[in-house]
Amino acid sequence: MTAVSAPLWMTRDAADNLAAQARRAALETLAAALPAWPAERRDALLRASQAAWGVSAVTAAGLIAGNASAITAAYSLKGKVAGVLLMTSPDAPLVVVAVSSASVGARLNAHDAYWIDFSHLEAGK
Amino acid sequence: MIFLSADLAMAGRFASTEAFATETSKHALPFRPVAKVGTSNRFAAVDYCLAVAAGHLRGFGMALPAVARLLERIDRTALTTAVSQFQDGEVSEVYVGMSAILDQEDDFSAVFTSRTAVADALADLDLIVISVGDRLERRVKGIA
Repeated sequence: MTAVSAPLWMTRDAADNLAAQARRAALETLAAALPAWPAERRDALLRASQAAWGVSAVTAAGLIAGNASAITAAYSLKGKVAGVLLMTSPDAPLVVVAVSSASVGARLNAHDAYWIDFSHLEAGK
Repeated sequence: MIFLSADLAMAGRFASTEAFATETSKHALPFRPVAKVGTSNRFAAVDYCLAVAAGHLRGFGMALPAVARLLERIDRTALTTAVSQFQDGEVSEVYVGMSAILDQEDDFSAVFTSRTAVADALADLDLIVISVGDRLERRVKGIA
């Protein structure tokens, strides 16, 4: 086998460390933005958002933190609304829309609209 | 950003979305949907990058079973982390470089985040190098 002195590629250890660092930074961002939320719910929110949006932890945390008050307000209506959709708009950074149906929210989830399904946060009550 | 089967089909040079689904199943190509909405699969950026790599390999005339074996050599965890860094602007390039002799058992992830690292590796290794970061960026901007 050809010998290479030091890995020039991203090793699994480096990848794991970088991912853990990014996740820690993202959770710190969420802790500052959503201080009243339990850590488990913030963690669930980050995981659900990353999976639904296909973005990195840091990007997901930034999107959530920028709209934390609207998300919190919508979450207080949990039961009446299924989640919120963060929609891009030419006039504002994001428009936050409460959606009553999870299936509608999931269908509207796209590269210019970010859906948060509150049922995915139930593990983090 | 999430991707549809149609995005991956186009990047992977499949004839249609249906052909993408059929061939992925038939040859166990490593595309893993992160969600399903109705009957439509949603994929993460890492799968789009794998599709870009598959498209390039097919462009070289490789058959899908060979493409599947080469894609399996790419460490998904490392590529996911590299793509996250790319999305966050921490790195400006992402390459996959597949080796004929090294695989994940050799701790070879096949993922590079700089042109310099690729060039240095090429001094010692024979690699098939594919830039996936720029194609991902163009797709996110809507120009690919």
